[in-house]
Order: sequence, then structure tokens, then C-alpha cells
Amino acid sequence: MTQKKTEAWSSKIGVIMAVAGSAVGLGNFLRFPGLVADKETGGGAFLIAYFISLLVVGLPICWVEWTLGRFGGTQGYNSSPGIFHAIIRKPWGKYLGLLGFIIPVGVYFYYVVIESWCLGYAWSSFTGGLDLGKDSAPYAAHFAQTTGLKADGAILGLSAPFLFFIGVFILNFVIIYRGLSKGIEFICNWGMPLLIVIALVLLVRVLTLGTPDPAKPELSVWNGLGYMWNPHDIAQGLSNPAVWLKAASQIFFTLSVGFGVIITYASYLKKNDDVVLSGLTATAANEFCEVGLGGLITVPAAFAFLGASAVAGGTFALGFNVLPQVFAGMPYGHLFGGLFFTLLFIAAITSSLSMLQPGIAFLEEGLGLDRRGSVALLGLVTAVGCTLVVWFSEGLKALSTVDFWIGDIGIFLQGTLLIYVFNFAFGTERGWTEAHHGADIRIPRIFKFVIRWVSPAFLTAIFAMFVLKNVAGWNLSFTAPLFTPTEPILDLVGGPNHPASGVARLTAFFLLLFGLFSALLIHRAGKRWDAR
Amino acid sequence: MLISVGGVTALFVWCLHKVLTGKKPSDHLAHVEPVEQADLEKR
Repeated sequence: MTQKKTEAWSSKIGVIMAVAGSAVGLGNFLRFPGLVADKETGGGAFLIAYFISLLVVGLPICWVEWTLGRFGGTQGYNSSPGIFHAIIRKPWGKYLGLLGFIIPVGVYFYYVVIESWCLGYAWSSFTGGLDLGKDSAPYAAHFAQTTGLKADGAILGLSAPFLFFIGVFILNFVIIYRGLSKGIEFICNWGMPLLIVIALVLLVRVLTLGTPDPAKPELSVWNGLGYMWNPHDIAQGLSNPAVWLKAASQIFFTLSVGFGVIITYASYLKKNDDVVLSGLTATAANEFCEVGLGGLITVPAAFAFLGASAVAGGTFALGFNVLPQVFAGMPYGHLFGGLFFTLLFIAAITSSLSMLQPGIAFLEEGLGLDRRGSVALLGLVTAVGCTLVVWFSEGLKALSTVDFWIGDIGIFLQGTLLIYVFNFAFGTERGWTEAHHGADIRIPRIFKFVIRWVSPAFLTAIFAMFVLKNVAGWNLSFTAPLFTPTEPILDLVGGPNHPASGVARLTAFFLLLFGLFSALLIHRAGKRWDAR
Repeated sequence: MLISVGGVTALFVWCLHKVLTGKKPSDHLAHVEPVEQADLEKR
């Protein structure tokens, strides 16, 4: 392989920051606290399942991705299709990397839209535009206005949400055009420490809230912490499949494993660069942000001001309806609210940048495009996908359809594929040796057994359960199983009292076309790689 | 809560410490190439 390597990380801490930046996202500060606070599937049982999933799935797949990525890089490949081509050495091998291209680009279609909401909310908070009083209705209206929730095409034109979207979309491509080191690494090196500092400021603010309304002494921040963290019935919780499914899914999504990002980022490492400590550090950084910061800020604050009912509305409701109301109720709320949404924006942009790099890497090495050409082509593809999401905004139908088929199903599939390729195509023994090449620390030997047997079995079981629940509509009961078609399926095929959604069908058709287009590109790239 | 938050914080701090005080790129340059048996016989 004589291909010249043009991109590399400038420092070890830089790649760790970049991977951590990719992993730390909105889920750390909004989704995780909501899951822990859930009265039926949260609490101590959730946390035990969460940390077991971290050890059995998260960390092992993380090391697998880092190892395979660095190996691919030494063979001259930076994209998932290229790396799988280098590992499997069969004509079909490169197609196994298809999801490693589709997933990050597909998730970008809607992630950058949510990112623009965060920036818009930060602006509104700092300028006092989010101080909408004590009633919850104006906050819901503001969210609907920002997202175009009420009607398709509602935010198109010269509206502020649309301008924020255009600005954020362009900003991502300007940064990515600057390259790996000057673009992504630079932003993450500044962004991640800034994110942690802002989170610590907010944490101090939340923990010193005390009892905001003396007339309601039960609504205090300490009771909020207790509401979220006090263990429920652990034995009963751990026997509930829903607890395991939620915990394993959260680990999977929060670490960005199976996303196609880590494998690409690691491919820019040198042969003797460490992957073991780097992978562990990026994972630890994500867990610190999620459990140590995210877990202590949002839910306790919401509880202290609005009570338990306020934290049960889901990720978007907690972030964009409840928390602005909370900030409006505290002194200097516009400042703390602005800081909170700035934090979300930083978390989002370091993640969205990571979603573009796998696409750039593939277009450059697969089609021989230069940086300008790859940025232009990827910009065009993502602009079409984002237009779909922004245009068909009613009920966020297009967004949720892409999220389900790409962001949920796709990531599980890719993660499962990765662990099987590592064990059965690359070889566990070879992979173990490869991982320790240049390693600063050794992985405990027990993880060799975990990676070989436990992770694939656990992941397969969780994936099967996920599909049975979310596609087949299983009620997660072994004793009285019941299958009811779920909304994403009903949206496509229709059912009694639930007509099929034209937007969902159009979105699914677009995703199918995007998948076929990507497969064609991989086919063409394969010819180029075979000719090397 | 203390175990979860304390645990991840301790792990993060330990990892950062290992990364920041670990081997530098210059360590790779400073090592001595091992002499191959074939080279030894040639000499």
C-alpha cells in the first residue's frame, strides 16, 4: 500500500478529546437523567444494568473499534468500507462497512437540526427571549415555533430558526473543510474543556438552589437528587427486560460505538500509538460527563422548581420545555439558561463534526476526491437529507423516522457486526495482540473472554430484544407476551386507527435510495482499491 | 449516587493522569534497535 497519508492527529490528547467530543452529546445531559429518574425502569437497578452493560458491551466494543480503526489506517484506509475491505480481503467485505458510512451521515440529517435548536435557545436565553413566565404553555409554544412542530414547512423562509439552522449547517462544513487537526481537533481541544467548565458552573448553581419555593419545602434540590438516585427495588428491576434494554441502549448510544466514527478517528493514529488507554480515557470522559455532570444537573433542577411530574416528559420536553421554565424561575436565569444551551450546543457540534468525517474519509479514499470535492459532495447529500427533516417538521415525523431506522436500528446492527468481524474475521487473538501494540496500559485478561464470547452473546440478545420490542411491538413480558405494531411500523404500513404516514414513507424511501447510492459508491471504490 | 458519580470521576481523573504523565513521543525515538541475529553473524 503506497497511498500517502495526508491527515493525522497532532497529539494524543487531541484524539481523545475528539472521540470524547463525539460521544458526549445531548443524550448525556437530557436522555440519561430521564432514564435514571424513571420510576418503573430507573433507579439503582438501571444503574447496575448500565454499568454492567458498560463493562460487557461499551468498553469492549470501544477497544474493538479503536483497534480495527488503527489497523485499517496502517493499511491506508480511513473509512469503514475501506477498513472492512482491508480486514476481510473478500469482494463482499467492503459492503460490511456500508453502515459505517450511512449511519453517521444519516444521523447528521437530523442531529444538525437539533443542534441549531440549541444555538437558537442559547441566543434566546442570553437575550432574555426565553423569559416567558411561570406558565408552561408559552414554553411549549416557543418549542413548536422553533421546530415547526405544528405544520410542515413552518420554519422555512427568513425565520430565526431557519437562519440558525443554515448557520449551523455551514459552520459544520467550514470546520470540517479545515481538516482533521485544524478543524475537528482544534474545536474539540477548546470545546471539551469549555463544556466541562460550563457544566461545573451549572452544577454548583443547581446544588446551591436549596428550596426555591419556601412554601413547598418538599421541592428541594436534595429531594430532587433523592428522587433521581435513590435505589428502587433492585431485584425486581434487574428481572425486568425493559431495564436491561434501556441500560444497554443508553450505553450503546452514549459511547458512539457502532457509529462508524471511532473506527475512522482511530485510523488516523500511527502504528505505535496507544489505543487501550486512549479508548478508556475517552470512555471515562463520556461517563464523567453523563453520570457525574448530566446526572446531577437537569433532573434535580427540574424537580426543585416543578416537581416530579416535570421530569417525565422525555428528552425534548425536559430540555426545551421544562428547563427554560426552570431557568426563568431562578436569579440570573437568562445567564444560566444561556450557559446550559451553550453547553448543549458545544456537546452537539463536537458530535456532528464527528458524523461528517467518516463520509469525508470515504469520499476521499473511495472516489479519489480532494478535500474540496468531498466536502462539496457530502454537503450536497446532507443538504438534501436535512431539507427533508426541516421541511417535514409536523410532529417531527421525518426526524423520528430517520432516528428510528438509522439512529436506533442501524447503530445496533453495526455494533453487532463490528464485534463479529473482530472475533471471526480479524481473529480475537490477533486483535488482542494488535490492541496491545504500543499500549500504555494492558487490558485485564478477563476482557479477552468477554470480547470473544460475552459481548457478542449479550449484544445479540439485546439487539433481538430491541427489534422485538420496537419493530414487532413485544410488550417485553415472557409470561404474557403480546405483540402490538409500533408507531414506526404503523407509519409505513398503516393499521386500524393509524393511517400510514406519507412523510414517513417518503423518508424511508429516501433512506433506501441513500443506502443504494452509498452501496454503488462502495462498489466503485472497491474497483479503485483493487487496482491499487 | 456517591458510588456511581465517585466511581466515574475517579476513573476519569486516573485516566487523565495516566495520559498526561505517560510516555512521550520522544520515548519512541530514544530506544535502541535490537540487533538481529543475522546482522550479528554478518558482523
